[in-house]
Amino acid sequence: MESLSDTTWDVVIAGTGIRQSLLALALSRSHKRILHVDQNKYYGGTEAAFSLEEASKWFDESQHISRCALRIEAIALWKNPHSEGLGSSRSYTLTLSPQLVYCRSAILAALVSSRLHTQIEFQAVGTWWIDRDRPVEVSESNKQNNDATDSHSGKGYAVAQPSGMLQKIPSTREDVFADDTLAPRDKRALMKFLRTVIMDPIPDAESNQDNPVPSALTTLSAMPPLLAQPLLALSMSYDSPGTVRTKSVVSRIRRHIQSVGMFGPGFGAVMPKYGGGAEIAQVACRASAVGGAVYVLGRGLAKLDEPRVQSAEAEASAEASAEASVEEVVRLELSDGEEIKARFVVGSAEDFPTGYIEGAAWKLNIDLVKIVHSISIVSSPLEHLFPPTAESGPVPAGAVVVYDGPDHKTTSGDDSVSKAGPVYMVIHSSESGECPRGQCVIYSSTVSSSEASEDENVQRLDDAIANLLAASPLSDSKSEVLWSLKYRLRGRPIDSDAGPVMSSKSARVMLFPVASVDPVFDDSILDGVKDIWKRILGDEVEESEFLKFVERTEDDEEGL
Amino acid sequence: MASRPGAAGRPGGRFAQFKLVLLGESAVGKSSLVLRFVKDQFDDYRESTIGAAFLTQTISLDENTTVKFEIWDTAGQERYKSLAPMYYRNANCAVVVYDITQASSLDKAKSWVKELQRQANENIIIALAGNKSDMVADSPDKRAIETADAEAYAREAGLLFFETSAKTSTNVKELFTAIARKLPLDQAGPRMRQNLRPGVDLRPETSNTQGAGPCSC
Ligand SMILES: Cc1cc2nc3c(=O)[nH]c(=O)nc-3n(C[C@H](O)[C@H](O)[C@H](O)COP(=O)(O)OP(=O)(O)OC[C@H]3O[C@@H](n4cnc5c(N)ncnc54)[C@H](O)[C@@H]3O)c2cc1C
Ligand SMILES: Nc1nc2c(ncn2[C@@H]2O[C@H](COP(=O)(O)OP(=O)(O)OP(=O)(O)O)[C@@H](O)[C@H]2O)c(=O)[nH]1
Ligand SMILES: [Mg+2]
Repeated sequence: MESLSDTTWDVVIAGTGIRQSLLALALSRSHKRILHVDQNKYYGGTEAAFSLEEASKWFDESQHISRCALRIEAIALWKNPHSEGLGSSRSYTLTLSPQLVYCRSAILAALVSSRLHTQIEFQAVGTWWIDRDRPVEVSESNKQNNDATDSHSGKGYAVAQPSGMLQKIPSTREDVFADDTLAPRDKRALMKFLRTVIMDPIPDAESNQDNPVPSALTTLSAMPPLLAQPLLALSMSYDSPGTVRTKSVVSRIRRHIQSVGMFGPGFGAVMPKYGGGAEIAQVACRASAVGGAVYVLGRGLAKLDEPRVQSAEAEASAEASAEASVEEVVRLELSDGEEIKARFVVGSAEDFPTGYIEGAAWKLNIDLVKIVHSISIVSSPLEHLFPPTAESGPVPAGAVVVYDGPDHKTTSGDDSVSKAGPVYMVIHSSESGECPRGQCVIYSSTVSSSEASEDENVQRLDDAIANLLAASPLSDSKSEVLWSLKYRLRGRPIDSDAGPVMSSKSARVMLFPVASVDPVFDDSILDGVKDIWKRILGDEVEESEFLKFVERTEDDEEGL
Repeated sequence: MASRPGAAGRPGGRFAQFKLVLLGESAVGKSSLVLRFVKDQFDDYRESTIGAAFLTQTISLDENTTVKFEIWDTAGQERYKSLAPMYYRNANCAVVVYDITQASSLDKAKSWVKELQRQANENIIIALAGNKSDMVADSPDKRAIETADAEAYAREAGLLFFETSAKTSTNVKELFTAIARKLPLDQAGPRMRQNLRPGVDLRPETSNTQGAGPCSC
């Protein structure tokens, strides 16, 4: 076997997460010699998808790998001891990357222009629901994570009030019009908001004091909380209602509303079948392999040795000498000891050797936020959450339920409560290919509030799910959680500036900007990928050629 | 993985699409089998596959049953070993190829079968193909693996089995047809069509122009 050290690689990409995979795709027709490695034995990195067995292996391993902890940390793995309902391990594809993709997202345009879309099946995310405050009592002794039995549901929650608390969030004027639960006055307020939100930003609205048209933000702020709350939920931002009043929220709501109808009636967001972001990443790697990239799993970067940066004079004199033609390369050692050479090395922080980031004096001084996540397999299909998007529209495979439940109660028992952020539950039906028929998977997440203990933050996810299951119709009376995995994700706050791509002194080693915690696919990912792509290819390409590939014709297909 | 074949309703007919992956040691003839099946060609001096290649071929099982294979031909060289999981992920069927004149290639094939049975889609249909049967026609002493031995192994492991020749096209069509017949076509039939849930078309303007306009708000 030809060894990896025989080649001077043009690019070594470390990690097979979504960003690295999109870079590999972008470079796939550049005729560069590309080596794509991953320290893990599976594809996807922090955006991987797992069978049950793989998930529990990931859980066990992440207990003692400190490097992964940068972005993602496992918290708890739980299997319902009272139920036999789980299918076989491989009938599940549970994803660490359940991000929704809005129809207006730049990633979809990029997948189309790179011709990758024919290899990914996208499914509609249909209805957004809000699950309003409902009394939830959790008895301390019966939390999900311990095995105590319970006469009610096995979960120890007081059965919530009858259903009817689950409300569809109207996001089009038709929705508002058709909603009989709304008073005429509220309908008018909503209509007005929907109208203004798509007009925002009004040119010079800020500077033009005489402008009589109130901005969407003002309109939103003026709304009674009961009306405003569901609209805020459309923004998919984690802030608690008390703290969100930012421009970003308005543009996020606008994105939602403007996406509806783009690819079909009645829905505005999609999800890739078989594991969301994990599927996009793998399909991108596949295309890169077709272009000739070499893939190696189970080996990461152990050591980097950069070319010494020459002083200006040295460089000038070197230019004259024959030495100048000797290319500067980064010397790398892979985790199995193999030494390789590369002109460029790219990865994200968790793919570099421990200490390298600090050594390179890269400042990652961004305030990171923490989001707690859970992946829960539910014993029933929760069909009521997936009504057809429209008469002729596709049956959605995804739905979103927003839970704004009660605030954290401080453990001390006094009533100083903090307003917690919403819990987003993204429900994937079995049509997603992620679970067997008759079940569904709930991906839930909420901000890890610093005012509450970690247990309380995690508990909020369980409360939200318990509430949702309690509200499911009688036909689904056996709804229970069969299995769940909880983890913590760290990243940039939603819509914060991603900052520039960081590169080492020699400009040969590049680091993707820190990823955000957005539950929606973050288009700024593409900016980072494009930046690095351009730095690698330089004058060989125009910016406008990024991820634009021509269709292959019969003539190109020699070689097979 | 909970993969299911794609199916599309066609009045009066059944149409199903399946993902197929080819695995096996380098130079056993995977790409040659695909080339024979897809283009009915053979090439004495094929270059070893780099990474992977993608092709499609449609076959008719009978007047109203059409099966489309999306074929991923992988590179057999050891350096590409890490690629395989990406290609057999969600695959409905696999052809594991060995060269009947190379004893070691069956061992490699067996290890692929093991990996597929452990890691791939649980309902994956696996066919074992002993390729280059033309080479033993003239000089039987070139044979390194007895048909009966391979057949016994295939039976035990629950695999379809054929000895093929990409060069003379012996059993190539038969191999893919046998796979197609074993695939869960009923699911792709009328029952499946009822709850057919086509994915979202990201380029609606190119296929259907009505009904998908921007919302009226
Ligand atoms: C050497 C070689 C030979 C091939 N022979 C055949 C053949 O005989 N018959 C056949 O149907 N297909 C063949 N393919 C695959 C073919 O190029 C396409 O992947 C496939 O036909 C899908 O076509 P498309 O128009 O839908 O998408 P494409 O325009 O091909 O693109 C699909 C995705 O695959 C990636 N991709 C495809 N080809 C390459 C490439 N050469 N280099 C880098 N990335 C690539 C792109 O990044 C793109 O995102 C071959 C590929 C290679 C590399
Ligand atoms: N005689 C004979 N030669 C064959 C047959 N099939 C393939 N070959 C030859 O075997 C060699 C290797 O064939 P390939 O199809 O490239 O093998 P492969 O399995 O795709 O190899 P990799 O791409 O390296 O994994 C080529 O020279 C082919 O011409 C066959 O049926 N009979
Ligand atoms: Mg080949």
